[in-house]
Amino acid sequence: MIIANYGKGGVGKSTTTSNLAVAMARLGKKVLQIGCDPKSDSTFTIAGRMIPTVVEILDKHNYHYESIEPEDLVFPGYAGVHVVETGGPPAGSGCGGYVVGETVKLLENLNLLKNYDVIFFDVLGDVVCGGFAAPLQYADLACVVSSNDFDALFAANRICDSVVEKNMSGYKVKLAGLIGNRCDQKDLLQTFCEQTGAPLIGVVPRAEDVRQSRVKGYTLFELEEMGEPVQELTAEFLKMAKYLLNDPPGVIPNVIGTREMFEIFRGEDTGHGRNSA
Amino acid sequence: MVLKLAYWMYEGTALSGIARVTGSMKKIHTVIHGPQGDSYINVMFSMLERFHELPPFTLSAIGRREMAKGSRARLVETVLRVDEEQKPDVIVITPTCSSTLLQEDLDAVAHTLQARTNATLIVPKVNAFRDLEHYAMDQFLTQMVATFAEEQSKSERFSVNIIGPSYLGFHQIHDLEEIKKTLQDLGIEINLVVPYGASVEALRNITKAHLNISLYQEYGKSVCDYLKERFGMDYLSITPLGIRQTGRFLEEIGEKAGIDVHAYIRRNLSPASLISRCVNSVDALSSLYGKRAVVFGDYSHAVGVTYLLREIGIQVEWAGTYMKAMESSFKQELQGQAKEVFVCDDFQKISNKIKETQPDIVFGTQMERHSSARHDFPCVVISSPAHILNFPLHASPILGYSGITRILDNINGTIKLGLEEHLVNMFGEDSQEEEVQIAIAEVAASTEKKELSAGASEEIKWTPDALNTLKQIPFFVRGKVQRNTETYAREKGHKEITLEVIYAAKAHFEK
Repeated sequence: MIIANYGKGGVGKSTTTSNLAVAMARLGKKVLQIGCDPKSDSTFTIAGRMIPTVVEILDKHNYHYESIEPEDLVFPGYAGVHVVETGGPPAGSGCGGYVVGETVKLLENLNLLKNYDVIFFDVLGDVVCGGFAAPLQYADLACVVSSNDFDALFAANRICDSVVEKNMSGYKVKLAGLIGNRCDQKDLLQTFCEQTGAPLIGVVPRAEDVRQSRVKGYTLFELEEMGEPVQELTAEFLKMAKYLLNDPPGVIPNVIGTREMFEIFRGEDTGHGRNSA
Repeated sequence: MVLKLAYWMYEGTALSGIARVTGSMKKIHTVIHGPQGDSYINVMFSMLERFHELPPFTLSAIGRREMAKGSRARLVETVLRVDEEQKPDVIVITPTCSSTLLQEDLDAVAHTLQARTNATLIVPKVNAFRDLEHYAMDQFLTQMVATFAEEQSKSERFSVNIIGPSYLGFHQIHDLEEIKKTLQDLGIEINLVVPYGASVEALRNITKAHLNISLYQEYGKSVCDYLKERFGMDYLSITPLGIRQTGRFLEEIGEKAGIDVHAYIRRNLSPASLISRCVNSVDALSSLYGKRAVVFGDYSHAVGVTYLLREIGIQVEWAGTYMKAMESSFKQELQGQAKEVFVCDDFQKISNKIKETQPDIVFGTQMERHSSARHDFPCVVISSPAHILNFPLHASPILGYSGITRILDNINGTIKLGLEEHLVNMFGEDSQEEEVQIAIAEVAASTEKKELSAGASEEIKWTPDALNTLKQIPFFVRGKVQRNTETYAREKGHKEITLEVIYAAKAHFEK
């Protein structure tokens, strides 16, 4: 099963993906997490370090694709989860979308996508160009990570649009649903899910432990092992992992028009709206 | 100011490879999805190939609007228009470097458009940015065959498919005629040639043949592998270049077809045959035997020509190919056939290597022809990259027995033959008078310069007497004598070359 995780920048995609990956490994699955972001920090919490990226490894091999074996690109991490980072050009130069798109195709050519029960793509931000849409061409399911606010949901809506577009072009990817992250409340998320027909897979509350774990380079499951009181959080990830492993059919979402988005959420977003009263 | 060619490729792009396949086939229309400049392939066809109709290409241009708003709408419009106006069987939507950089999803476009076109839409599974010409041909040919091939009952008589001949290939259309003639003489039917002249209908019938024959090693084998795996078709992948390889080629076909080919081989190699007469003549013995050659080209031609040269008694100092992906099999294949076997795709290094080796004759691509001209060595072009002179009007195959006679003619027309060597020795220098005067002037000028900036250059001075003697030496060995004398003088620490130094150097090298 291939799952592509998208969401607005800074919403906690990498943290969510890593915890889901470990949760699935705990449930006995062979899991690969592929970080598709030029920043290449997606798998930090699993590997406990910044691993060499595909771009760096290609560079070492002088871009002789034929001399690269799948094992050269994959690194083992916490709980037996394997990780890959696509990498990309330095900030402010080159084309991140090109590198991510090409690398995903290279991994497919190397037959790397065949040897796992579950593969996660953790993709940079929004589907901004053809390159960042490439994981959708291989994925069975797409998940959108979102917080309970307008900006994150606005991005989520655009991602829904990409899923619809891919289905029109003959790809099989379906939207598994939304994963709420950093949510004290979930009212806006629920409104969005009702409108689009997307399931709400789970909701992770705003918690200092989650933020800390990310910076320290641990998943919540490792923190739990170290004696931190995070059972509630890991339980939520295990619940979501089981849901996804149950092979949910997913949906082709009803995309909300841009203008409609503003109308629906006008004044509802108490965190940001001017007319919140 | 001197312009230096910093980067140049022996192999073409993936787009060239795809276009060679589509351009060679019938009722296939190629839509190139890229910016204006990416339609250069049409120009290559119109400049080099000798047919009445240019293969149909249409550019779906990526311009400023497409960069800003996405290029899908333009591509859709182009494909629909081509389908309606040209009515091809297949429209091949080719990726280009630009569409790859933009990460355009052409498969998605083809998928959604297929319901609206009569033509079958195909997007080559090739990376336009990363793959090269021959790899792209190999992949795309396989894709085309896999798309259309159907299970068919075998033809009544033993028949074969010829895989390889295509437009813009090196003498490939001539090779095809030679192979056709050979098979006809042996009584073997040809079911289909791929890609040259093949239509979709013909591809459906590809499985009627009993055997696939892949003529070139750079591409075509994947097609054979596919047909073997999917339809159980037997295949043979030998390039019949040279005496031994042609014999092996014929014997294997004979074995598969249950035909005795030995009479045919004997007829072509008998003491009375053209090949034997050429190779065994007194002139050939004195002019070819023991001559030192170097060979460079694509895989098939570098390997085949090396075999052939050995067969006619020419010594191969080194053999190289630019097909980097085939390095290990190249080295294995030619082990022991040449003193050095290597893979390299830097034309400057090859040029320098030729100069260092000082061969009697060079066999190479058009680039080696340029390099040889610069260093004043005779050169026979035996491989792509090619030029208009490699698309001759008269029959000129490289493969088969006619190919051997043609290459022999070519060698005789290029290398200094025995008697000619003596004649030029006796009378040769006059025709080069002007050249020598220029050389003298150049030496004089550089001497003056040196006096102005003493010790700046490492060039060695020739006294007027010494220069005059150098001028007496026949032109085709003059360069060599000059270089040897200068090397000798440097080694011995002479500041200038006098008559004495020349004679000492002569004595030294004659030892």
